[in-house]
Amino acid sequence: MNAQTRSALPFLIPALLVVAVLLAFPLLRTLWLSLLHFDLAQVLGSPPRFVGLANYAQLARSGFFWHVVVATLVFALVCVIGTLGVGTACALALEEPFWGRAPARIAIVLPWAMPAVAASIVWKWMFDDQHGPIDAGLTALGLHAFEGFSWTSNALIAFVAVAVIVIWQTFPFVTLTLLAGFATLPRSLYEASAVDGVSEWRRTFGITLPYLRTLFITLVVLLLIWDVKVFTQVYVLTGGGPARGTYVLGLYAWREGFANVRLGSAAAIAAVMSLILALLVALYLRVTRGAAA
Amino acid sequence: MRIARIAVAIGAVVFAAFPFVWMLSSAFKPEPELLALHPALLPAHPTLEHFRTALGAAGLGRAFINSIAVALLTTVATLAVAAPAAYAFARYEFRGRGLFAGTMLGVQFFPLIALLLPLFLILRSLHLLNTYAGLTLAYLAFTVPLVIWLLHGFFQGVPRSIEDAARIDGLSEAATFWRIAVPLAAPGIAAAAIYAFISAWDEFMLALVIMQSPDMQTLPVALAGFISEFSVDWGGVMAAATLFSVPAIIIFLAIEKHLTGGVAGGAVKG
Repeated sequence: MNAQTRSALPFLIPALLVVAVLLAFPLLRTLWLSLLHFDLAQVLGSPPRFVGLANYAQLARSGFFWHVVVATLVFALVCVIGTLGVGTACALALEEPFWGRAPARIAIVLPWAMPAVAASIVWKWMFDDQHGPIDAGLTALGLHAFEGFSWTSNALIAFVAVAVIVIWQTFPFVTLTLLAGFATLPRSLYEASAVDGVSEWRRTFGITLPYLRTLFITLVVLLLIWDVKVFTQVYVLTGGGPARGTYVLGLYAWREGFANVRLGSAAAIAAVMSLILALLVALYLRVTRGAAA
Repeated sequence: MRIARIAVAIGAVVFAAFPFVWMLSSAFKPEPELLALHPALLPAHPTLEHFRTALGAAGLGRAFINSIAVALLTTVATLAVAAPAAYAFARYEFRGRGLFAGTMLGVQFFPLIALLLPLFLILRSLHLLNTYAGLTLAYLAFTVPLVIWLLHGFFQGVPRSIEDAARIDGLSEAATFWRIAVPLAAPGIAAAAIYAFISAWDEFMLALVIMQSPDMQTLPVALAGFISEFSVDWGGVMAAATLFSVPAIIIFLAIEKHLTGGVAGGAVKG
């Protein structure tokens, strides 16, 4: 052991213990759990039975599992596009100083600062079909189809409503990150374009945004990872309904584990989910390494 | 172009702030105004009735105490474990440093559900379900790596020369850390503490499983429980949501700058 390692070790030991006991061990335990038959009886004490890849095989045969995988990925993709769209538009609007920019910035941080459960509950109340301001507002705009419109009785529409909540909560992160990114732009880029008489539109879409390409790629992967893991917003707004129509992987694993008490099968879902996320992280690392090089 | 910018800015502000305004307004509206056919933006006759219900009858006071206890415990335990590790990470070229860095960063991307299934079984066999210690342990699994990551940057910002001078004066490694580096990195440690506190305060999925007994529920679990009841008292729920989010928002605003700069800086600098 070299001197540096010897000096560092006492500082690291508590953290290494936490990582080993609370992270590495549980994650290995999840993998092991996914190879067991582990239902209510096993939770109550009977010995678990090793079943190999049976839990995975059962998932692979189940049409519903594949449906949830696709739904999760499509949902995440839609959220990412929506979040980037709203976040970028907002960042461009706040790029240049104007009166009221500081309070506007604070207002825009609010959704990100709000706990996910509180945000989801407030949106559930806003989507209410009897007393909610969304239906009332849309109806007042002349869209009478929205009078008493239920946002949660059709799976596709319920997914849209959940996506609105997710986009609302994460777009501030995109806006703030881009604003910080704008600040890193070399002034000379702008000065040159000003001399050449380039219009503001062309400057934005031809210079500013392409210059921040790496930042955008990072944001896409980060958001994708977050949105694949979505749980709270779905749990609160729809609970997975109607008729399991808005299940995403996180909710599926959770329900399988803690409502149906099939922990082996839940662990298999969690393992597949981890694999999907690991692939996304690998992509992320490739992208950021590529950017650094 | 200028008009377009201002229009988008106004739209974004309304989109961002409206749910917040609606939550506050609903929390203060008397029942008839809440259930009006055409709900108004602001309460005509504001009332504190819903706050009384939320804190009294609904047992939210207890959940409030639970949430504060778990968040404080998580903050203290996280800092105690993560601050020395972050310091070592910033200062020493120890063996396995790269793997350590990868683990700290990689953990944030793991789905919590993959941790929750075994943690539930482990905490259950240790009789730590429905205890502050149990939920705090579960939270350490994700707050420690994040806070190490957040803090190592602050420790890197502490000038090495000051530490070296302290060592020459005969301070041990531990004393150098505790008496020199920690005070100099205090603003960063404060930000990390707030971050750990908010993470624990907001967390839902783990608390939902680990704190199932009604008197041990944390605020988000209690809140989610309200709306699964058959008839929802929306005024009470909005008052509870207000009490839950306002402290989180206020302290979040205090450290927000520390949380975004990194992504932009890291990705653009290269």
